[in-house]
Amino acid sequence: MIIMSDTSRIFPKKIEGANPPSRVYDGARKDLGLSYEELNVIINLNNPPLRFGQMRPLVHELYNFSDGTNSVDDIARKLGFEFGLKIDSIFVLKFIEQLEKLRIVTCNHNS
Amino acid sequence: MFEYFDILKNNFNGETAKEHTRNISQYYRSHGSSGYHSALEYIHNEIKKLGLDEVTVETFPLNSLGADNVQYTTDGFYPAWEPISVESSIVSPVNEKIVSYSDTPTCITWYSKSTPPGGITAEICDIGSGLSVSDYDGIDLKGKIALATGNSPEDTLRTYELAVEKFGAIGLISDCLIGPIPGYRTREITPDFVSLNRLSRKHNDSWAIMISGRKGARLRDLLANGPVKIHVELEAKTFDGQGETLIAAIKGGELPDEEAIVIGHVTNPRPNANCASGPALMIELARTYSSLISEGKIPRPKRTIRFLFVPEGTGSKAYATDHKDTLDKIVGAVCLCGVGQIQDLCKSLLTLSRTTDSVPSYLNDVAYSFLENGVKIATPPLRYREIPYSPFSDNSTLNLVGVPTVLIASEPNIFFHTQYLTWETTSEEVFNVSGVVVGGTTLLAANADLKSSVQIVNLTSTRSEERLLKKGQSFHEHLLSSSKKSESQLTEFITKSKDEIDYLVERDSIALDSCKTLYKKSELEPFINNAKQQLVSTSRKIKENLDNLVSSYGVLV
Repeated sequence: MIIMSDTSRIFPKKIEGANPPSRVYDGARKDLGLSYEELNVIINLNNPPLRFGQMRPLVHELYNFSDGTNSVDDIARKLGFEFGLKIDSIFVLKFIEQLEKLRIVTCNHNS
Repeated sequence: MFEYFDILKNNFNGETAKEHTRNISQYYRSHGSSGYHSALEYIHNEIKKLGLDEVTVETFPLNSLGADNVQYTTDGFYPAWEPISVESSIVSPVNEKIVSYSDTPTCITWYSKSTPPGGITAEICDIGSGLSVSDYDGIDLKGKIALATGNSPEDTLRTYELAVEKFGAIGLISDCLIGPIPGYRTREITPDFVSLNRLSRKHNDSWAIMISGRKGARLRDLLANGPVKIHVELEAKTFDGQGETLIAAIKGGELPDEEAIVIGHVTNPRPNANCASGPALMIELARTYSSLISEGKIPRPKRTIRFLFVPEGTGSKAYATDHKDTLDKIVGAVCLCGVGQIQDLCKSLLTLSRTTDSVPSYLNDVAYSFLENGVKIATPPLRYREIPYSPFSDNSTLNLVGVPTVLIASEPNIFFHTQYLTWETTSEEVFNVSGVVVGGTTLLAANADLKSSVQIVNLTSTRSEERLLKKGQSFHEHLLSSSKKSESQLTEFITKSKDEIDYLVERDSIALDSCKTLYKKSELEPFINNAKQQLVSTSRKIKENLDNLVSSYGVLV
């Protein structure tokens, strides 16, 4: 279990050969393994909350930025600047955890 | 740098692109359907006439193997799907037609399954938006058809998930109008719009049809006075089929292994002229290039120019997988969707969606320059804008595998994905502008040598400086015009502002470095390094200005 204060030391990296995420929500048989309710929890963890339709480009980009050199905090900061939104690390972390579970990214915990 | 501008303006024929749009948009072009294959055959025949160096069709499976077929996506592609018919009517307390596929092809929700032969007659039950489990409190949907509403594709997916899969409705009927535009596109202002929606692509056992806001209101009015029964007969095929991508190329003369890509999707329902306009423009652009080269008006490009006519999403994913060893040879890609829409009619702007910031590229500023100059061809000039990455076409696939890809699209569009999005909503004048923007950007990338690469470095540098200065200006404005900040708020604002300036410098420095993909020898490097130093210097001044402002803040505010 990752605790929030660690987000500056978690460096996600794409797993070579793994397919990138496509859609975020595809009905009950979900693409990212997250239900509608779980996705709503994540967008509401952000302060201010995000809209459901804003997730797809953000998830694409948080995956893209997962190159092993950007920490979760770095990714949140970059997403915020790119899309003109305030993005909290917790929002990025929740998706990174899911991508890690799906073996799309791996996380290096640099202490 | 803009030497291609006039020659494209004088030779690209928007009228022909419009005619191709008309011809492509007559087919219902869902993934793997007969309509898709017919549309692609039309394009193939047109392309074959041009005498290009390479014209091939690549195929990939669209089947039900799912997880056993994972070479292209994490959970495999989905099966082919094709609509055949929909008839729906109110049968009690009145007899009235609701909607049919023959006159409103957008009414059938993608990946719906057929109703039993002869159709189904059942009571409808209004579930409102039906997005929350609590919306179903006290409602028994078993044996009934759920009547819903909504504003987005996700709304329909969610409503179907709950109403049909969880609470047992037979099917879904909805007046969900995706992408409402206040003042222009709402169920009240455009009450006859029926907008395309889709179900889960791989797993669903039932069906959904879309109706207009007017019909939705009619059904709810009737329901206010008692039970309402409707009859729905829907036929659609879900089958193991084939995806097809048409690839056409003009071989590069000096660097044939390096490529500039133009990509557009052929899929979507009938008519969906915005999607048809992409491949339509590509056919005409291929003709323009080909005839200009054969007439000796332009030289053969240095790099290969490759046109990809794909089924949206699946085609680009298959291409990126099957050609993964050559993706790093692509110097840039332009993706098209909605490149001919009449702006006043559609309330649209010609919109450039940037590459992802994770793939910073010279391509953004080159495409923007062609756009800001290209719109002036039209009288009056077209409206245009630049927006951050938006992942709504094959630009997402390519950016996700590191290929810098911009998207040119007409957005918004009041007819978006409705039955009224016909070829008549396009104009040759808008095609002419798009032809110059797409054609000029691609030709410049394909031909870049030392001289034009230096020009591209200069262009990227100039626009980057402008962005920095504008950002610095906006920070000043904010500080001086907003209410007085406490010391901690001020510190936080300044820290974040400086951080953003650093971010822009970092991103645009990588974009400047991307020019090395166009010219690999060392002569370009001093120009790139100078431009990067200039950005750092400008950013330093902006940050100093912010510090000065902070030191005088108490006096000024």
